[in-house]
Amino acid sequence: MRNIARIMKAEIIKQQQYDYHSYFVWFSLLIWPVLGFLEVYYTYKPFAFTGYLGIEDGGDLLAFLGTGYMAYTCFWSMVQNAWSMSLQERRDGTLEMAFLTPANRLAMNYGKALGALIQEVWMFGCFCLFVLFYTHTLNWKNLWALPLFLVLLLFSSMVWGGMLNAVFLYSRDASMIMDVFDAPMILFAGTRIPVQCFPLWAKVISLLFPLTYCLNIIRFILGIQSRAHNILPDLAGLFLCLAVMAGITVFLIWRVEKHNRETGELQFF
Amino acid sequence: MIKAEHLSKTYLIKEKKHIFGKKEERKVPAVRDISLEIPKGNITGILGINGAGKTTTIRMLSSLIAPASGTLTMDGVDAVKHHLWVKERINIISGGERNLYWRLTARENLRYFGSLYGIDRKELEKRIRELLKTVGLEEAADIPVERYSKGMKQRLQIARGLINEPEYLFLDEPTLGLDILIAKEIRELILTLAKERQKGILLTTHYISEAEELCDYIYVLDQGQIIARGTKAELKEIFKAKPRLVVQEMSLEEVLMKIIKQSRGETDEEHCADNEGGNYQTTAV
Amino acid sequence: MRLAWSTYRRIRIGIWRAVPWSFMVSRITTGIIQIVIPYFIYTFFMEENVTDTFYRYAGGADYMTYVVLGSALNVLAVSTLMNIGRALITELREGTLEMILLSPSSRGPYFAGCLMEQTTRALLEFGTVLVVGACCGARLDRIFTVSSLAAVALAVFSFFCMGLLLSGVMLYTRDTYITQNTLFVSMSLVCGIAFPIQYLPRWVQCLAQIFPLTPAVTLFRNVVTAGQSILENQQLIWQVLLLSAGYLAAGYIWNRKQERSLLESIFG
Repeated sequence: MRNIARIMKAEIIKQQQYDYHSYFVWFSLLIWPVLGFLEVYYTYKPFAFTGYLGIEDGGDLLAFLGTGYMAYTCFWSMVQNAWSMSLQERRDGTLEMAFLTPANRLAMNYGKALGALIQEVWMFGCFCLFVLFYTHTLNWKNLWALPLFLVLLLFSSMVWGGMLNAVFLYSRDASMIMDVFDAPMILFAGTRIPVQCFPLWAKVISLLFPLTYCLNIIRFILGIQSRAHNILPDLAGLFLCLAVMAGITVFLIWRVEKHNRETGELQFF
Repeated sequence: MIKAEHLSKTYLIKEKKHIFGKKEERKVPAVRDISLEIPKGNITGILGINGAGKTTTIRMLSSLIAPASGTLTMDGVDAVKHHLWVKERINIISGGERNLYWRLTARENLRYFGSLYGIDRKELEKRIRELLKTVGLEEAADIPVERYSKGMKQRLQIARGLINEPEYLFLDEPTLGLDILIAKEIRELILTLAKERQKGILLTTHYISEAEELCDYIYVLDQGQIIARGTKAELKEIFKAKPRLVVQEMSLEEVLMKIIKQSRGETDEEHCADNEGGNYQTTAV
Repeated sequence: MRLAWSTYRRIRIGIWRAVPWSFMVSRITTGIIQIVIPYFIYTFFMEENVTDTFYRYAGGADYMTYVVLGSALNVLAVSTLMNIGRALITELREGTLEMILLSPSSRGPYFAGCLMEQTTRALLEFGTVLVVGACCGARLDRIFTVSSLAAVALAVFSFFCMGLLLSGVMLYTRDTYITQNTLFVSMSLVCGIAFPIQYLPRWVQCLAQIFPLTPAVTLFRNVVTAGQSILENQQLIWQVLLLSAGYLAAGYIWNRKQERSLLESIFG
């Protein structure tokens, strides 16, 4: 157990040292999301609010989008990090060097995800927290919910990121996954539009994304559109998704090691 | 001792001829039926030209990739089955500038790789200090690797390769592209590691002089097969020439070229005439 | 002309052999998402509750048609800018730039070749987004008029000119990813793609005028939704042409300067 903690710590520290002062991170995880956030906010401008689903004015909308964007950025940073790190580490040969050690592969994998998350999302996280305080969604009375909200978000993102890291270990041509995951996740997971207003077919698709449950729970905790909302199905859904993703991660890592020992594909030749 | 018997490795290459076409599979044999031994305290060399199968051999012996057939043991333990156990006791140092995090400093690189071996923090810091001293990077320890020269990167690679105090070390062209002074320093270090610290070392190189200077025993690899083996003296013995007009011992480089040409069935008339009837035998496999 | 044609053929072959679909798929997906999200908001969430202010700003266009035309032209802009902008730096990365710089031919036909090569693909992406848009209820019956096609051609020309400058910037910064995405995210926020720019603060509206996409998209909408002839929009045409001329001149000067310093570094 101590060994696992040591490996995860080493990965987190490495990630921090690696990304330090990287313009790439500043742009891709602060400036672009802030501009994107504003774009969606303005996309709502042509409409008159009717109070449907508890969103009655611009402030409610900002809170709704703030949580959506923050959770989405956490999940998206995992996709981006898994992609860029796998390319970089393969090219530099460091991936193979890590696999030359007897270190626990699962710990390495989750350490990488958590490290990236802490390193990359804090800036945009601060922006979103500012939005939540500004709209009084977060205030002195419900400040207790903040740590709960952050732990839930970080843990879910880490499990998701761990799975993606494993996927990108398995295939070096996984860049299509970026497209496949990104667009549908934005639309169906309720990051920008409440899932509750979707037609049935879209609701069914939204069930496939762990982010959907995560967001529902976060918005429930923070009191955004919480009216008569039963949170238990979401909790069960999230738990199930996390368990499935962890299972897939374990399986993929086992397969990767086996596959690599057959083909030596952890490096570019 | 690491002992390999009849190891073979075939890569499966998948090629797509057309965007919508089906992938075609092609089998490329990289290494065929090789047997060798790496005793502790010795430097064992693998010589061969580019594409001879040296890197595949080293990656197989270091348990990074599994052989398709044959047996591999380390101190009597099945190294294919217990590859994680093997990984605790070995390390690889390759030539070139890869295998390091360029944005991290030397100390940060060593700390990261050391942690992956589960080395306790105090012990790790002590080892890092010692290693940085050994490879002469003490003063540059806190500078990002991207600002290092080629030689400094190579020295850091050596420190990384020693971080887990391996019993066996695999050196894949460790002096590739370095100038003669740094290459000499590194060769001296390799010799110390084997002779004083009793590590079993496998060295692949295509610098013949390096093999000549360092190796206790040499395997010559060509087209994935071992075509000759022996000590330097034994290899030279194979081509022992009749006294020439100018008395000069044949260099190992000449010997190597002869062995490869002979194994490929190519003739070398100029030299054949010098040999005993042009009919020689390698201690071949 | 021969250089333009050979550049066209070489890039075409390269594109078909290496990663042929990933950029296109990603641009089409972005374009579609830019339509589908407003569609979901419009249809399911806000239940078609559009304010009068919007109709006033949009010149009477219905919401979906407004969004679809904006998004389609944005895809065309992104595609052209990306292909032209990345042309030289791709050569640099592949190590073929030196050969191009050392050849006596001028850059004009080279970029014209790039434009020829990319326009077919860009129009394919543009068309795909329009088809999806039509499925979401956009009224596009006036899309095949002479005025509409002329507006698209004018837009492509202006994006091409801007792409020349972008190419210089990319070569200077040695970066594609950060430069292109920052530009594209900013453009889709300020150029009036998914909402009229009148909603934005005034200084942002002024800033938006430096992108040819802003007047080009207004022109395209005027022609397709309001049924105006292109000649009725002379002010917009002049704005697009002036911006194009500005970008063309800046791109030309910058690229010349870049080439000189690159050549020095090759022989230095």
